[in-house]
Amino acid sequence: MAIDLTLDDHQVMLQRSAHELFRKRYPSDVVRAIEAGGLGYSPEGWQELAGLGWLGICFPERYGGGGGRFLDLYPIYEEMGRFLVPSPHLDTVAVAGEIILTTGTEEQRRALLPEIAQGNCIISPAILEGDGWFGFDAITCSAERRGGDFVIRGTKLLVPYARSADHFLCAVRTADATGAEDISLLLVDARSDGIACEKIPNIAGHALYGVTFDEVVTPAEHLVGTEGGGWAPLSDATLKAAVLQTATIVGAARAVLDMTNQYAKDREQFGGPIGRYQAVQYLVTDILIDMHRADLLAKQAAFRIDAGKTFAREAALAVAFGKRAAAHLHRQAHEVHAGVAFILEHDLSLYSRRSKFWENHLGDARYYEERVADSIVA
Amino acid sequence: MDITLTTTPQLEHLRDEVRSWLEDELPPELEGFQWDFEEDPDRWAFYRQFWKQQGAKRWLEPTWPCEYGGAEMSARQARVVKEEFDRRRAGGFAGIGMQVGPAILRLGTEEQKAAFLPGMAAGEIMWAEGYTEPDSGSDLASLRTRAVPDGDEWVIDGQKTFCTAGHHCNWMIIAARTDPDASKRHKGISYFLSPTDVPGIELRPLDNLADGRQNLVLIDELRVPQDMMLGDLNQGWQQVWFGLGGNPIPTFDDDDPGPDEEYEPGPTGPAWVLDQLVRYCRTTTRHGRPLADDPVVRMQLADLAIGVEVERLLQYEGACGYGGHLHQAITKEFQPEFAQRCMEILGPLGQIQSGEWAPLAGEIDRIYRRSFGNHAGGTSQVKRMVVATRALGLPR
Repeated sequence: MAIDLTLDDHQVMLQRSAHELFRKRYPSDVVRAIEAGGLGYSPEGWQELAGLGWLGICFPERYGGGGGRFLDLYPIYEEMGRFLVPSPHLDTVAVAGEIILTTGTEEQRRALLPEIAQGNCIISPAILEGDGWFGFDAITCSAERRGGDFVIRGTKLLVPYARSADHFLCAVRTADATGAEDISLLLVDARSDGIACEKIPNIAGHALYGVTFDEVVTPAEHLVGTEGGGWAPLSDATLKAAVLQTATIVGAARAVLDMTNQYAKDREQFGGPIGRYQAVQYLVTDILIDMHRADLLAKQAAFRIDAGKTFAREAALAVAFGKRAAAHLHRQAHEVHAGVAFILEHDLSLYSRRSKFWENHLGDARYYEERVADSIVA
Repeated sequence: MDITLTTTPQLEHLRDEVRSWLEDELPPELEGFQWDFEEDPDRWAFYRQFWKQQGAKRWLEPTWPCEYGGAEMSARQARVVKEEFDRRRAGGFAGIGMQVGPAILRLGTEEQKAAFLPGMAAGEIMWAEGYTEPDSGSDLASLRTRAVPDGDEWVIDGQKTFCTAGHHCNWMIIAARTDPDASKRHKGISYFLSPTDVPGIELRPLDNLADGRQNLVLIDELRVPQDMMLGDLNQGWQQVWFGLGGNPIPTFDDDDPGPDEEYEPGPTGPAWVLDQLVRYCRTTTRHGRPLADDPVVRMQLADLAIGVEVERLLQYEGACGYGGHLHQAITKEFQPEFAQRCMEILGPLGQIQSGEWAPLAGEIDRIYRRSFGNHAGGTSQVKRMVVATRALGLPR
């Protein structure tokens, strides 16, 4: 009785389409140019994804979506990893879109989801703060009621695509949210007065910003979900999104494995290919083993999410392992390539630098290991 | 597209039957027997009898044809039986019947099938392994035990080693070189079936690190009749070791009408150990708080849970694109790692093997010692090399 973690025909087709499209659109010189360009993604590429229906792929049709399933995203994310496609998809669709869909008012859904699906709206979740921990206990940013508005004060860090964002989805503490877990979620127009964005230099060359909210006013109807009830939907959506990000890590690992395996065959030293040495074979097979384990765990989590089953434990296991695996497999790939990949013209460091972002975005391995521990010790 | 296990009322009925049988036949204090890691005579005596009773229920080889002592069960029926035996940690049938049975089903003559399969399914015949030699371990194809024809018999001379629990087994399967041209390696090996209590076979004990007994086997002018060769002359490596050729093994379907319902089988193997360890961490106090509240211990437990989950998925994954060697490489490296991490959580008390101060009644000590015996069937390094050269195409 084998369990079956194979994608269905439609998802296989999606993967093939994504593979062909990204291979054509995002050769490494394009990826490099986008990184250097400042925006951190390609607006034309974003429109192309919208045209394919891949932004609203999982939104219900009544909100301008494709009515698809969670698993449809898995192959797309895997291919985004393989070709290092830079895009706000994870943040805007998988985190913000998901929260608005599950928790937002009907008005918020009707206003925002079709706009996201059409590629007209980027929403950046603003969660992390100065102490660097992902959890609710690290959130200090405050929002105070003033008449029919909230007034927000505080600084968020590592906010993706802040300069391009139309809205922020900001995790804050409100006056009525007094308990440790009582976080509220506010949509904030990115052009509001009092918002200052500062680009943060980072190893991945990603579009990450520090965003300061200095008495920023947002109408009370921009509260997403209940006051003080924001952490549960945020935690749920980020956990699901982190599973998709693990698919990205798996996709990147496939590219890194191919690259490293080929190099071990081509590079000759001491009169033959270095891949004939078992010391090198161990490093290459490490990448395969990391990739295979991450794929199994992430697919199991994605299938459970897709089927509407409980997934907290399985997803946390997958994400924690995927983040550790990402660090390890890139290190092994560098060991095999040695000097040649230390030179920037080699593509391996495009992957290994981005790996550090995946290892930390939406929480680090430590955070998800805590979630695993919660699920087994509780 | 299903990653969950399902069951039906009929399957649950079978489960109830196995469960209540086990309640009657297996006292809790005799759980957890491992034939390859135990020599306690009382426990062996119990299990010899237990396997015969299990065989009488046709639950030793439930998927085999009825004429050979099986129950013609479908894969999922057999899975339910196995889950219940695993749940009670009932010791699995000793010897290497799991490998010999399918080989006889595929390659055996009608006489061989009739002579061995019913006895195996009844718990009467246990197979000892005669593959590994003192100078041929991972490089098994270099083996030097040779068989020379003499009339309608073969005369076998050589040495086999690491023969696990061989002294408990009444039959042995022996790989021998039948083509004297050693350069033919894989192409000159045949497999023979012999009783162990005959002149020509002598077992000398090799006690191992994990309380088991292996054996050095001295084979001296052992005479084996021609009809006790399994498979074809010189084809043993491909046919027996690699499982190629012969007749397909019959499989059986059930006509269970369902309806299917999801279920979660209980933890077995490392998942069971982790469950015990988590329980220990909840109930044991260190630094004035439960171990389970210690942040370092929590990280260690999370790490263990990830490895255990991978093992569970690998078990159910079946063949993957990279071949079974990838699975074996992962599992063989996981076992010592898992055992060591468990030891680290226990700390100094983890050394204690038995008595009132032994955590988990010494279970972690046992799995730790056993984890060094994870080379049977090839070391993890060999598995890695096979993955590297066959799955990834790196040079040999």
